[in-house]
Amino acid sequence: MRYWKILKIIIRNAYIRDRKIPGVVTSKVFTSLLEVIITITMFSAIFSNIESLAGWNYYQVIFLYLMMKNIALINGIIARGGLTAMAKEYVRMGDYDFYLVKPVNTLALVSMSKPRFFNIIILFFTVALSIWVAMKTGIDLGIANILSFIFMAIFSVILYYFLFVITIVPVFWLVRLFSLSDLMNRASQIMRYPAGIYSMFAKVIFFTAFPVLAVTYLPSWTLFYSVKAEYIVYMVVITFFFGWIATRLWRLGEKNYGSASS
Amino acid sequence: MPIIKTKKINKDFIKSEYNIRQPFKLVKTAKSAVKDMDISIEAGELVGFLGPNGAGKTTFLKIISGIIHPTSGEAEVLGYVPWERNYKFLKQISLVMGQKNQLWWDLPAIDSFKLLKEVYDIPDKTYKRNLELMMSTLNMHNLVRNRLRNMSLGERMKCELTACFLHDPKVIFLDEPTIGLDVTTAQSIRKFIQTINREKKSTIVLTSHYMGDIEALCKRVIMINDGEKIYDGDFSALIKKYAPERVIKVSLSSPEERKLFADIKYKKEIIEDRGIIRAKKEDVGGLAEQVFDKFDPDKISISEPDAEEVIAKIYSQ
Repeated sequence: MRYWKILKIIIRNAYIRDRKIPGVVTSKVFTSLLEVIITITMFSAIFSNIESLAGWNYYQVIFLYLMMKNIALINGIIARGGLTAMAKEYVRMGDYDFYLVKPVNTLALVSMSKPRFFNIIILFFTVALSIWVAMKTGIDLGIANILSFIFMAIFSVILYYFLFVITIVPVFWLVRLFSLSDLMNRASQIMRYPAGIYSMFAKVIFFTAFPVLAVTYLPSWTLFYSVKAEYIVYMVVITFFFGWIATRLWRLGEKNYGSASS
Repeated sequence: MPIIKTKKINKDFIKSEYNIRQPFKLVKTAKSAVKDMDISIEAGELVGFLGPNGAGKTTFLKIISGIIHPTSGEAEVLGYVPWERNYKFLKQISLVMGQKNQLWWDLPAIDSFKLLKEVYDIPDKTYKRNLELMMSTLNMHNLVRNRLRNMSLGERMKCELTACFLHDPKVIFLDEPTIGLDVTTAQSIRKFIQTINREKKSTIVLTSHYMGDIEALCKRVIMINDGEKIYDGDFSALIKKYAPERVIKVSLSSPEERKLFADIKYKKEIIEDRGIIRAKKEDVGGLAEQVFDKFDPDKISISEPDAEEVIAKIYSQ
């Protein structure tokens, strides 16, 4: 409840701030939507030469891409700004000192520190497009599929967040990580394609050791094909597991934190 | 029962560097920032940590506030080990750093205060009472609705101090709170700190370069140099111990006055248009008679040695 109140104040102020800089918000929304259009155009070009990608048709592949985009945007609304700032400035400038003296979970407070409210605008478009694309796949979507997909998608958002945290944690040892803060962007590219295009080795890595494929592929598979209990259980288990890993690494990193000179 | 207690606290920072002569090995160098620090502070004390740049004051402050782990040693603050960061411990302490802002840069100060109210779970009544007290004492009613990035340094520091006292902390760590502030603002902040220490009985640990802060606020001073404690005790006793003399200054505005001053039989010096005699306490009486015989009383001052000079002398030893 307390964290919800904190988040409300921060989000409200992000909204008030973004409202005063409509030019910046408009350009960011425009750039983001342009990226979506260009990516869809790229897929259109690819699918003008092939019928399917690892058995997935054009609309299914677009849906995978949009699911990746939606999850990244949801994380972007609340957590991405704060975690990126952690990688680039909080540790390096010593600002993290003030998070450590607060009686709240530091990971939560850092994550909430720089929300990007304008992502909601982009999310509105990408979610609407996702729904339209899902209907265009030509696959009959059952209620059980849809509900299971929503359930798994919630865990996808959480798993993506914990994977992002894991990519940021090395900052406690390495101080400044401009490149590592971008690692999740790179990993996100893997999430936009069906798992069938990857080698067995890559599938093992991206479903287990760094399960970015699980974030989009498993829920999408559940939506378009059949509800498999083992997929749902796996989704829940790896989310909790990587949540545990992320929080343990964060605490270990704090022990190594050396602050910055005043 | 001390509220802050440390035993043999050490902190070493290891720096790793790449050396082209040893391409497959990182060269590690260790710097000892804090060495065997033993201190004990009672509840309600206002203690100053004094030391030159790089002495280890801030590093020690960060250890006892729980920000960093020591390399070795023990500490207990309010009955807790600080770096374990127990939430009950963190709710009772506060930290202000003169060169950094804890308040959110893009938020109006009042919204940052509301945020801290939720972070510290401060009851409404306590929050309103403390906020009103701080705003009145620091004269901030017109300030609180401005965003932090639109405030001057002095205004930001007032907001930082307000924020740090909202939750009635028992122990407050102030790291150079008056740095960069003009004389008037620095004075009002000192007065504020004194008031809080007196009325709320909070324990305050203050680090500063400015002798004005230490002289105005701290009866007790802990001097640190090169990571080690070199003095722990009464501030005025420190000055008396290292500079037991009195300083007689005479304003010399003509060559005749300079000649008269040169005739005084005591060790002396002339700096620009001032003659300075550092006299032992037992010699002051006789010397003062000589000086008052030769010069107009308006040109003469007799004072304690300048605390800054004394401290600088101690560091150089």
